[in-house]
Amino acid sequence: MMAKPLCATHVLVVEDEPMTADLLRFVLERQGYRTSHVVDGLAAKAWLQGPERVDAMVLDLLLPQLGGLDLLRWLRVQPSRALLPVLVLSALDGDDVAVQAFRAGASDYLRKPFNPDELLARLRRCMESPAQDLAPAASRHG
Amino acid sequence: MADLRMPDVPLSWALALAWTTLGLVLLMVLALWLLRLWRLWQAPRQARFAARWQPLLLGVAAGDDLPEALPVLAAHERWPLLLLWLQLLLTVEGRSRVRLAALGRALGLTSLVRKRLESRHPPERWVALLALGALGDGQDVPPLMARLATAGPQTVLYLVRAALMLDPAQAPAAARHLLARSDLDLARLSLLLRPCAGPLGQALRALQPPVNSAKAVAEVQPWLCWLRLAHALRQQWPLSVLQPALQPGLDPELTLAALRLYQGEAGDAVVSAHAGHSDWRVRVQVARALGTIGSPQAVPVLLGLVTDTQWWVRYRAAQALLRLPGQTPELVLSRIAATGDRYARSMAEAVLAEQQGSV
Repeated sequence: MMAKPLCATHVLVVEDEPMTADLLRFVLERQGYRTSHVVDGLAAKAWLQGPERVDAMVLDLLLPQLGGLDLLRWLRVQPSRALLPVLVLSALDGDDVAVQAFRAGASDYLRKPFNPDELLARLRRCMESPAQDLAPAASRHG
Repeated sequence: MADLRMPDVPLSWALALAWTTLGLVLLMVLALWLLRLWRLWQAPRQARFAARWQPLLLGVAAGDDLPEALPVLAAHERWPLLLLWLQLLLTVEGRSRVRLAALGRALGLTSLVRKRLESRHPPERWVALLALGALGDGQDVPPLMARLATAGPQTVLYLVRAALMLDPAQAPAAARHLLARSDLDLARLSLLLRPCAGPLGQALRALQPPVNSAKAVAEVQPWLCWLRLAHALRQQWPLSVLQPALQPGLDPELTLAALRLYQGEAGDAVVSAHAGHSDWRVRVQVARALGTIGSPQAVPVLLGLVTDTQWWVRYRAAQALLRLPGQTPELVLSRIAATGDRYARSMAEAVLAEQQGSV
């Protein structure tokens, strides 16, 4: 598969913690990704309903207005965005959090605090995975 | 007949009250106005501070080598920089964290942190302890451990974290100290000591309280503290370690603590023995543990628990049934329907919908 040039790759960062958001954007932009940032679930939903193209999303789970899991479930039933690769990044520390994220349709899951190199590697792998691997987990398990 | 007239208030009193109220309101407005002015005055300073330091910190966290020449750190910038640095340090791990720690040392934050350990304000001491865990060295450990005995219930957690980040070999002494305290906030402990849960949990396991001749717990309280601490540290211990606390007929709190800790790879018979416990919280944990063990022998026990009188027991039992290997939703629903309990069936349907993300 031909990898897309990174400068053309647009990543939406959904994160309400300013320092984490700054670091994510800094790390991604240094690698040549273009980024956009929203701080809550409702803003992310509105953004995703808009016309702008996006190639991947880094999503926090604990968000104001609309939680990350609910946003993910909503996203996976939107025909135009259903296959968007989503890397969930969360500080939630429970046995079932990753399971819930995958059930909701996460492409991958990374726990905070995170290693920026690992984040980049996982994000790239999410974007390079064949589309069927990114099909909504909820519908596969349903 | 009662006199309903208002009492006479001297005019001077009323005027004094009015003037005082007006004065207080004006003072409050003035305070708000000054606060706003102060924030406006601070904003460019904060922006300059962020523009000066944030790119350097983010760059080092993202993989840059330390620059040959670092910017000069002004005295008034030291504490804000420490806070910014610490916030970023707690966001990352791996090599990023190591590089940030090196940057902190190169900027001279270690001496600032050591001074702030003596601060009269607990939050400042806690920040200093969090930072010291990354910036300090072996010479900091003995004084940290020496403070444990006199520290309050919150400070002790920061002390243990800092000491173990610098020297994990202190874990047995720290575990003994934590076990001896009855004033700890376990939720906070779980959060703060997560980075050192490995060595601390290992040390804790070696401190198992005594068992009696029947291989059951000898005394309830030490076992209860031991199990609760292990749970807060998210330990996963095998059945052989927990079995003394899972003997029938013990204090329900003890059974509960052992079951909560049990992640299971076997032992459904030991767990199932508590399925008829009179305390519903124990039955909830039985259902959860059976779901984790994943043995097909658990199905009849879970079908019993899914018809329990307590909502939480039914919920956890339905979750556990749907989690067992080989139990398709259709099979589970048909088995629950065969119990004839409509509440059990609606619970299973609700859990299924929840798992599929439709609620």
